Amino acid sequence: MPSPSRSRVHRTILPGRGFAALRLGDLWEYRDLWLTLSGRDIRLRYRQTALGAIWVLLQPLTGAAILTFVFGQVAGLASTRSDVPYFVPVLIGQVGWALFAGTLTKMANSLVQNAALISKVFFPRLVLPLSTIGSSLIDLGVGVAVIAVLVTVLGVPGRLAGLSLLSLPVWIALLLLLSSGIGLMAAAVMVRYRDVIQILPVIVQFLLLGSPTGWMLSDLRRHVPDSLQTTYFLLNPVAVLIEGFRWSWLGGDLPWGWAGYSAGVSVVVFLVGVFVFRQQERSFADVI
Amino acid sequence: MSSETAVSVRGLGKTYRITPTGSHPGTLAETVLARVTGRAARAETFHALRDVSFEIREGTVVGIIGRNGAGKSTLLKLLSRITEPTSGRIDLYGRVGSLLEVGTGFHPELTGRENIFLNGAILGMTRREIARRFEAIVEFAGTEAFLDLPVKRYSSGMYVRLAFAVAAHLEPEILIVDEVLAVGDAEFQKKCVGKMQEVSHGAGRTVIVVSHNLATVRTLCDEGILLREGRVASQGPIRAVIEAYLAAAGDANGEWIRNFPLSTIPGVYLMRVRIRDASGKVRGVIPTGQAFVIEADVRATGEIPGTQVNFRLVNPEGVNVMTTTTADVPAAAFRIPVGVHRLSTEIPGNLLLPGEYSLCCDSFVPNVVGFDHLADIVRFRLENSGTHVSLPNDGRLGVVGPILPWRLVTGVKEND
Repeated sequence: MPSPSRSRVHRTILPGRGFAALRLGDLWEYRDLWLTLSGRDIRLRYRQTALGAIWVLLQPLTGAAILTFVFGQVAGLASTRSDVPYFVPVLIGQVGWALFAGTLTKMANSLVQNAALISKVFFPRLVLPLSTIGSSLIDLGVGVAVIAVLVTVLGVPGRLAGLSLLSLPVWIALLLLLSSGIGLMAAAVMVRYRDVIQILPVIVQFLLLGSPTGWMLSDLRRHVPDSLQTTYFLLNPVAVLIEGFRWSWLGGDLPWGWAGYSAGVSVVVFLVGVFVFRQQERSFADVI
Repeated sequence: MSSETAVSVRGLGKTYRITPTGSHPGTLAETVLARVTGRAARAETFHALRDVSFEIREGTVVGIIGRNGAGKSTLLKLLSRITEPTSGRIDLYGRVGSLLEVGTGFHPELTGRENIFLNGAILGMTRREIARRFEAIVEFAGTEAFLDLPVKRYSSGMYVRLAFAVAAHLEPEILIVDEVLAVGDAEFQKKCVGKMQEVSHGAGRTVIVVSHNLATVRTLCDEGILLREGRVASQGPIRAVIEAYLAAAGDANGEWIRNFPLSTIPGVYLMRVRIRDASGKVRGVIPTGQAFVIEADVRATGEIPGTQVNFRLVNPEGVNVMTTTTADVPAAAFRIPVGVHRLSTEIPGNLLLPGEYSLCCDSFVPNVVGFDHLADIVRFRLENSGTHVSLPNDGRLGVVGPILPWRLVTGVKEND
């Protein structure tokens, strides 16, 4: 029998049953793995690329430039905003969108991409999706810096601009919660069904066009009947969050009721995502 | 040495649900379709381990042996927490480090230095621990000059050395190792064995090893656990356990037929292996004076260039007596197309000593992928048919027994 006097770590392994506890202690114990994997992802992204880290800058800028052309010029929405060059709100929308889509996609793929690790080594599986956040946050940081420079140089005459900027971390947190929740669920399902790899880009593309990145929520509110608006906000909780992200820089109108709804959805989706992930976790090594 | 318990396993069981076709869960659409049409494949339960119980004392090196499918890998996965048991209980006293594959998590684009930190973290070391042992790891691997080169530029030997060096400097109280010694050159293997012995006997750590190489297990381990069909068949001093294993291993009638499913990886798999005597009969006893044939029926589920099939003969001491491989035939003449085929070769008479042999077969693409690693599947005896005269004292020492024609020239001048 184990003697209570020994100082060694004692760990008991029993069949998993019932609801898996969150085991946050495990995550803390493996924080070095978490940091090292984040570092690996960031390093790997730009290794053997000629422009290296400049891509972090170029990606949102080119993305925003294309959206500005399509929505601002081709669709003629540029005239709806007279206070700032149309490129600025589009860039802000693009950065908020990239945070959502990047986090979602990277998290969803994190398990399958590291299948060899899962079947050969033990560690809390949440480490894998969590370690993708580092790379998403770097993109966000660069994006926010570019926006800050632009907004300052152009001297955006935001009525609320100064004060509303305080809400920026809230929008970032909500976007992260919502994308992580969906990402965790997608990752867990992808272990069993690789179909998700095919479906996910389609959904992300669909959401990109369906969310106010190249256009503003005010356009929707002007042109779309109220009943349809309700359906839209119910189905697309991302939309208000991106508009909120933009609002924190430029001020203007924001449907606050729907912002509250989206915040609630984000928290619930995140909790459900973590829960589903932990439920599925114990069989990952057997089926991946 | 302390005799406190390091690992205690009680009533451990693990079942997997498999579909009769042995196929992968498949796509979402297939699953939904199967549900809707009511043709859902009845999942069968496969008992990988049942009611396994044992205790391991601190500071011992324990070898887990058994035939393919006996549950060795499952047991290691359970001990290292990669997968959860279905029943029973494991108590581990001390930090566990497991090494189920050398170089897990190595990334080809990262440099040697970056990979040391990455791999160390994956194996459960903290950054501080890795930094402290960094010098020792690099020295052990002998790759100082290439530290800042991406490992994709490393030779496979260098890669393996670096990977093992990281793992060898993991300092858990309980180290779990799976078949890692199958890689690397002979000299490096010796170094690894030395390191593992140092770890167990010097530092009083517990090591649990799975290996198909009986010679390695014999030199490395103090104790053994023999698994058979998911149960513990024998446990105790390593010599006794290896004897129990060999006594039951292989079929003495000179034939083996596959009784477990193929892997889903396209490749070449052994379906049936036989030993035939000079007259073509399948037999477990062959006279030493006659040639015999090793015959293997293989099923190729994909045409994979570079595939080779190796056949190795092992004697009861666990010594590898000889290996013969299809790689000796020019590659162009040895493309195995999809389908079922028969490989065979003849082993000349009077080449090997009389005694017991067991045959191990491996099919793989070197450094790329392994298909089958089958240990001790056919057991046969070379019966002295009067060709090998008995010698005094220890008898005829050696691992081979060629009968060679000695000449005698009489009346030679001295110093000529």
